[in-house]
Amino acid sequence: MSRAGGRPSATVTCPHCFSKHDPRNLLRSCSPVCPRDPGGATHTFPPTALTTNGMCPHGLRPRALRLCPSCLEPLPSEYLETQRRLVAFVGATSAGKSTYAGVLIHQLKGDVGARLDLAADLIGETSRVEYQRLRDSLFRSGRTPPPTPPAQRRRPEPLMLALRRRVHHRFPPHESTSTALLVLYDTAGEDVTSEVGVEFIDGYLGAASAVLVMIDAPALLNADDRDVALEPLHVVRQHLREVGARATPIAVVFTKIDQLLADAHFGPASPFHRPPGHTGADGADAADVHQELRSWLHAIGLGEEDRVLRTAVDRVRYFGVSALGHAPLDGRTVGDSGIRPYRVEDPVLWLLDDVPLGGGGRT
Amino acid sequence: MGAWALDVKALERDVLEPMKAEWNARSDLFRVYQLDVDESRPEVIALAVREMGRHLEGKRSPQYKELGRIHKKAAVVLQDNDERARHRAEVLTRRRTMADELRRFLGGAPGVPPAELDRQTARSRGHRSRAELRDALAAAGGTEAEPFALPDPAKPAEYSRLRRDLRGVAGVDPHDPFPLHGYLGRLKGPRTTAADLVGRQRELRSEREDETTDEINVIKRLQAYLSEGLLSDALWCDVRDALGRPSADYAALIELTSTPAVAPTLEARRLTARDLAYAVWCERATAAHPFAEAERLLAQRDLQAARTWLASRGTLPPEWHERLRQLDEELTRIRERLDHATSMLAEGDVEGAAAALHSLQGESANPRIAETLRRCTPEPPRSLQRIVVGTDVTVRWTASTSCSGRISYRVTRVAGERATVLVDDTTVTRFADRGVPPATPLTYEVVTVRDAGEPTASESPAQTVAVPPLLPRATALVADETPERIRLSWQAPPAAVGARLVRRRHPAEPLVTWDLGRGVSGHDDASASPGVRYTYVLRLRYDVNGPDEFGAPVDIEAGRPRTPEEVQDLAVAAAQDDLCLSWSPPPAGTVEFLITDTGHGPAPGRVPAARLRNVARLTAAPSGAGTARAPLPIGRRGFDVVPVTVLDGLATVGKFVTVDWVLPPVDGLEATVRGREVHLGWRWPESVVEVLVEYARTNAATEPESDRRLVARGEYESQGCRIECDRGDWTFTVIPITTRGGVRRRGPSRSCRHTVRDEAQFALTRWWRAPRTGLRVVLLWDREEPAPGIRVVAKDGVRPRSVDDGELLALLPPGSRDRVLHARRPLGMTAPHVQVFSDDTTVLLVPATARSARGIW
Repeated sequence: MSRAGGRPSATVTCPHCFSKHDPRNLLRSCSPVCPRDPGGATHTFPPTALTTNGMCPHGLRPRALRLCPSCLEPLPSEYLETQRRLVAFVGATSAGKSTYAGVLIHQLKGDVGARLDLAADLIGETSRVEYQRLRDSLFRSGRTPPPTPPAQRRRPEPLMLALRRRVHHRFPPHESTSTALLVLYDTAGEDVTSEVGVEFIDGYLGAASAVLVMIDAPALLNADDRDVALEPLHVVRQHLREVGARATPIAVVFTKIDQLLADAHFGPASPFHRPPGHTGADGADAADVHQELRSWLHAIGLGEEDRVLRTAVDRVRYFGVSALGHAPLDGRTVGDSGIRPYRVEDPVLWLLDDVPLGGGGRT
Repeated sequence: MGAWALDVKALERDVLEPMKAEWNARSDLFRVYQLDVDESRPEVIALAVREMGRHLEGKRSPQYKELGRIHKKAAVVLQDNDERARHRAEVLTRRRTMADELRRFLGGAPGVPPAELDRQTARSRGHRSRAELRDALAAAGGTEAEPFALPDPAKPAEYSRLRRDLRGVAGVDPHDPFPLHGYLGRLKGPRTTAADLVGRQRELRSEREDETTDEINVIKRLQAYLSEGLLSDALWCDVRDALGRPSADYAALIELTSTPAVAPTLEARRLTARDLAYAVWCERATAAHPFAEAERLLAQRDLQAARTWLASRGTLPPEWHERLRQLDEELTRIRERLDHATSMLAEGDVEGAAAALHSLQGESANPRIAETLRRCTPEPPRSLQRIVVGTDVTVRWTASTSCSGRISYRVTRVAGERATVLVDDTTVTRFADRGVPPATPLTYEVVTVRDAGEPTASESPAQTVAVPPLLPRATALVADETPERIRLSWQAPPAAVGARLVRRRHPAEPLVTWDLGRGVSGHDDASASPGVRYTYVLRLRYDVNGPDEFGAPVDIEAGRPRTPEEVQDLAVAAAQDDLCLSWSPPPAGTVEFLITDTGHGPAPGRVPAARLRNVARLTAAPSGAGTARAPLPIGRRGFDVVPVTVLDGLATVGKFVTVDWVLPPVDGLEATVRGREVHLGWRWPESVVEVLVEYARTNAATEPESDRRLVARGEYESQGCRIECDRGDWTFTVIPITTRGGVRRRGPSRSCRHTVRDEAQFALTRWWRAPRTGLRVVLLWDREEPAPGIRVVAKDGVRPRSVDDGELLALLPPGSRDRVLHARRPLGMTAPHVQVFSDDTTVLLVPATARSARGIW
């Protein structure tokens, strides 16, 4: 697997079924006024069935939408035309993946977006519905999202988020819009271990251009919970090694970092006492966090995990985030002081480091 | 008798109503207290007394007041066995007497009409109540009964002649009370027809005797009556004539009306013999009493006139004959007692004579009694004294030794030729005169009066006491203190011819004196120094024995107040359960705070401080404080906090702050400090859409430094609330706000405090003198404060987590002027990582470059 990102690749990976196709072979569909198939569905046809003047087999103008030949799911044009990152979310149960996803998008559309002059736009109806569900739960009801159902019950829908930014060019002087498409999959923790889930995970990871492994940081302090918390990391590492995808970047995100701060696990010189991207130097802050977490892993006896991971893949980076800013009351209720996210945008900005979106996440 | 219960209606009917007609309730306490005369159970009597006492409480009518007056004595009489027995005997005798009199009056009649009872009640002039008479009637075997209204048709024509002719008819008994009925009884009675009369007429014509003339006339008349339908009226007149004899008593009336001959006539009128007899008896019994005049005179106790009237009647009925005899005896006895009283008076026993005469007064209206009483002058009061207090004069004396009759006193004030009766009929032995004319010599006279207001009144010689002229002091002296002047005002009696006002501050200072003329009742002093308290002494001047007679002094303390400056920049915040107030202190005075309803605070301006004291006082702060804390007012949703500067009794109302309690405070305010950035978080109440975030250095009293920022809810939800602060302790306050009608209102605030650390950057580079092993650390510190000390620590493999977690490579002491450190790569470390630590925990070190963060080797 080549390094993800860059120009639109020669093949398109369906974000729904992870099958790869030549963009020229993506299906087209007739307009709603054309006769439907026997099952009642809108008639679809390969591009080769287009008439010479670009009409559908019924002689009418076809819809612009492309469909995946495997699963017949629509592929938005923006997905096809822009630089995209299929980012796989992997993490153990209760690692905070859904909470993180909801807060991340909220931050990209809000505070972080304003700071970095980014426009975050959800692509597709399913993305908007899914984000609305997460946002209502977190910011309206003050509750963390309910556990995500495993893949054997419901296949996760991709959350497609377009990040756009106006870029100034010096030579010749002009402005253009730079766009990156982030495709997130909020998987269930059980998918990492179950048989059906592992099958899904294999396809999921195989299609991903980046992997975001969520690890419950406070759980690492407990020897009994440590193996469960690290299991997703082992699965990802094993998968990448088996498929030979060493170049796939892995962002190891230690969640609930606020609880470690409250327990004084980080000294006064730690970057976790500073606001993110505050150093004034590109990448210094992210590197500082990475080194700080490496040091912390060694301090709590997980230096071996660090060494194994760094030798297994080419690009790995540690992040410490806190989606809520505090531990939820009774496990699910957001506290009275509200959601105060911390560094949630850092992993995404690092994964998009080759996209000229700016910000302090570049290394 | 069962449990006693007060019958209020019976009380009003049997007691209160008779009392209006001057019935003496003391004469029958059993009736008043609704007790049977044989009642002896103490608990029942006590209950009656108690309940009656309770019923009498608070009643205002004269009858109730009278009952209230006799209640105490009555309670004693009824609850004391001996007293009650004595009273019972009197009551029974009284009742028996009344029953006997009524029995005699009835003479066998079954009752009397109610009007007759009313008449007898009125005639008794209060001696007998109607209820008593009603009960006496029942005891005499009678009842109240209205008689039938007897028909009273006009007598038919020539009825009298008919009666005369009937006397000449042979066979008609001249003593027959019913001659017409007797004559017709020989024919067919009332059913006699014209044919019967014609038949009798034929018989008489055949006899041709002179004796038949009258009967023929009778027959002709009866024939005429029959033809005119007046025969029944003639028969009824025959009955009424028989019953009209005055000598007939009820028994005789019954006998007459029971005569068989008249039965058909009564039947035709639907009357019985008893109804007719009772009706006729009632007519006669209720007719004008022949001895009413005698009764009237006796009721007036004019015994002599009554005797004269009776004696002039000639033959008297037996009862009145007996009464005449009794009158003679009474008059003789009274005459003897009057003579005795007169002799006592002549002998100097005035009180004894007066007592005897008072006793006689109740029995006879003999004018000699009153005349003699008027000569019984009482003893004058003794030991007359006067007490002068201010402008009041009180005279007091020892009571007169006279005791017979009603003894009272009359007090008269004599000023020159003018005498004023101050009190005419007082039984108290002192009197306070509060309207004494000033500057006038006075004399007070007190006399003893016996039976004041009565025709028999007499009075003693006057006792006198003199009072020197009074020189009253000024009244209502007040001082109106304003920053411009002190205005004094007072009230003086018209007799004052002027006043002298003296201002003093300290005994050592010279006095300032103003002599003011007649009619002046105020003075403005503008020469007083502001902020100084003076004492003003005022004495009124009178012209009595000379022009410079002064009344008693009266003084008042006053001063020209300084002007308090208003507070214009009051800030109100809530911290937990406290109200935090801050303002710019005025140069002088104390600042007090009033909590009032929104919009109901005092108007801005200057007012006397005392006027604001009745408003709820929240707290007071000393001059120069500038801050204060007070508990949040409980239970008030919205209020104004009004600053008031108080100085020298003056208050200046400052600019108020409205706190809108309708807006709830935010919940769960919490701050997270990361470097110099403070991230505030709180829960928004439903109704709040905008807050004001104020952040100021803690303890900013001496160094005010605060800033504020409006945060809308939408902005907060998308971006949060982040504030960059300098190093130090900061207080963050979140205040819900709303704008209504163009006026911004603040809700209760919530605050939290946090310490913000300072930051310093450092840079790690290779040391050019040792490019492979050398390390150069530069501390970027350009402030005037001493630079913090730093330590450079290295660790193999990973970054050191603390100063002790690795090898110390270099050290820069605190306050050092140097900013650069050099070190060499530690020997034995294959992958050394370097971290720079600050000795000062309040300073956060931040890497300036990515290399600084990752390490140099």
